Amino acid sequence: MDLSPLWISLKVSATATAAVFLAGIFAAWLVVRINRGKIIIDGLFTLPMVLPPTVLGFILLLIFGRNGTVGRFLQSIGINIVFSWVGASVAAAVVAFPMMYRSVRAAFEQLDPDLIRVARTLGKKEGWIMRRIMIPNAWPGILSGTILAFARSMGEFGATSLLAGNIPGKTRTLSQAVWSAVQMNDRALAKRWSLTLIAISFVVIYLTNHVLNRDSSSGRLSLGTRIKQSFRR
Amino acid sequence: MGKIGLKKQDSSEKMTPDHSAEQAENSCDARLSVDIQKSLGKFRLNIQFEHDLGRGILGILGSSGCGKSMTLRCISGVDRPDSGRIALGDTVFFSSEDKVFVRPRNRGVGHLFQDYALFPNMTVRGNILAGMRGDKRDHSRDIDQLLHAFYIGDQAHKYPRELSGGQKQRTALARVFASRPSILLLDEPFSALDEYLRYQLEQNLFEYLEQYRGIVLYVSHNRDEIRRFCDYVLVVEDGKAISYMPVADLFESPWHFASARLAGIRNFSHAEKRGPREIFAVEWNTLLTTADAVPDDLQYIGVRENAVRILPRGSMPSPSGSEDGRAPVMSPGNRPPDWSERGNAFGAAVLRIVPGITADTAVLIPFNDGSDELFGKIFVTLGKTHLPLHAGDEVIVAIADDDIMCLK
Repeated sequence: MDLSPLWISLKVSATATAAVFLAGIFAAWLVVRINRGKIIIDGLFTLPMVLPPTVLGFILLLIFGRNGTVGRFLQSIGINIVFSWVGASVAAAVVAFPMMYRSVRAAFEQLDPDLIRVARTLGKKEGWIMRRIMIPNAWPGILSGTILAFARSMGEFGATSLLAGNIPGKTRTLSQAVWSAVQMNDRALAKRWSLTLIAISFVVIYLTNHVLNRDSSSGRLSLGTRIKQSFRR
Repeated sequence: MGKIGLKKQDSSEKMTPDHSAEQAENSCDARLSVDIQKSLGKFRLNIQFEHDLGRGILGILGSSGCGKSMTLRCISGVDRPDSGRIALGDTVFFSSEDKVFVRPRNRGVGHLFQDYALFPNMTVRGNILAGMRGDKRDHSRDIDQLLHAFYIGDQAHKYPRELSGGQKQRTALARVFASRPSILLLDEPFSALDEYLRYQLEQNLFEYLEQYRGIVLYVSHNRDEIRRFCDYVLVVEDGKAISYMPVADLFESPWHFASARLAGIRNFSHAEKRGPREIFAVEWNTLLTTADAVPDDLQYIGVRENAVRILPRGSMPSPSGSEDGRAPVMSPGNRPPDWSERGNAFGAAVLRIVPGITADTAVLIPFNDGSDELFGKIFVTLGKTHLPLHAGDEVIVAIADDDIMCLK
């Protein structure tokens, strides 16, 4: 049996999640800080969540395609987005970004504002406050945002199909493999891949709850300590 | 206990010696001047005051939501006023006219927040370290000194959630002092603590503040705290500073209605001037004479609880109360019963008697009254041997003419 859809899905989702992790935290930090234009920027960042994936895929195709400015530039330096696993990652990242952004933003907004105020009066720079105060204390929200983003990437289908296609062994992800199997009337294969997706999702959710439950009983610790503790139990 | 906050002998040359020397210089003869306006929703802050170090600790007294905390936040820079000017000595922190806004991290203002705002992801030691400016590596001895001075050495490796209220407060103070502030803002430092902890912790805080050489602003809604801690007081009501005076004056002769309330006076009536020394008290529905001339802008009168005496109706000793053979004057002390010559009297009914630890309090309502929560009711501190009073009893209220405070 060809396991390539599983590996491609994991590779694409891991790449997308890593990108979304950084971009989501930064975007949330930005939006929490600004006063003017907050609603518009927040709307832009949330838009991928409500747009149909096909529309997103089409927009991405316009941007990264052979006729798009970005696409042409990337092609000139030897990077091809369309019909490549990188393209699948881009599509997954764009679709998953709002999950991360919204979770982190909510977590940042729930922080006691006095923590940030007091850090400022103690002479701390904004970068220090983000690294040492905001991220460590918003950790549960950041973690659940990351998990949601990963789960959303794993399930991404529409935008990926438009931007990266459905090339076996190259860009065919698990969800596309299910679709193809159903198309070819291979019920057994569709069942196998569906069960694989269900299993992965369940493990991810289980781990999240495990780590987060641990968190509420032990207060706020560093990420390393928390993960170590959750496995020791 | 070692010197805290401003020890500049040994360690300061390692971290920006100019800066700390300058701070110490400033704090010797500094003057804080604040004149700011800020709107937030319907609330409008419009506050002006000046204070210098020579006048000691400045208490900012006002009920909750009056703008005290917002004023502190503007001084430390975590809030930005809409307009005005804030300066400490020669350093301008904020000036809307000159478009100056110094970031909070560059102001060197120590701000102790109401719930202490300890960083939950850091130990006590980490929190104090976070307060230090400059290079981190040279601080370990300074931290040990601070841990020792604030009696939190044993807690150094605990997280804030593992600390008691008092330990949290001391950690927050150690962190503030670690930043070597040139001015210290304390926002209700005891509001997060249980009542029974306060007394001891107040003594501690007082010791620390005595060693600190800089302006201290102490915000509280509690007049007793202000009285114990502060030398000067700024009374704030509804976003405005209504008076600035030595603390003793607030409790001696409050000028404003709000000051009188904050000074603990509870007996008020709206008042109208009727003659040079004559007032009509609206809710009490009676004419009163005063010892001093009545000001023209009089709006209210106030009387202390212990300045009111209760006489039995018709000044007849009540039969049931004559067991101690005393004069009918029940409270306070033993003024001769010729009160009517230099005093005022009017009828009232006893609403209830409120038992107290040291003395009971009688709550009276004057006849024909239109009293509400704030005005009209008369609270009277009863002496230990007062005649038995019961709800519904009719009595005469006597107030000496020099006990009537004219307020605006």
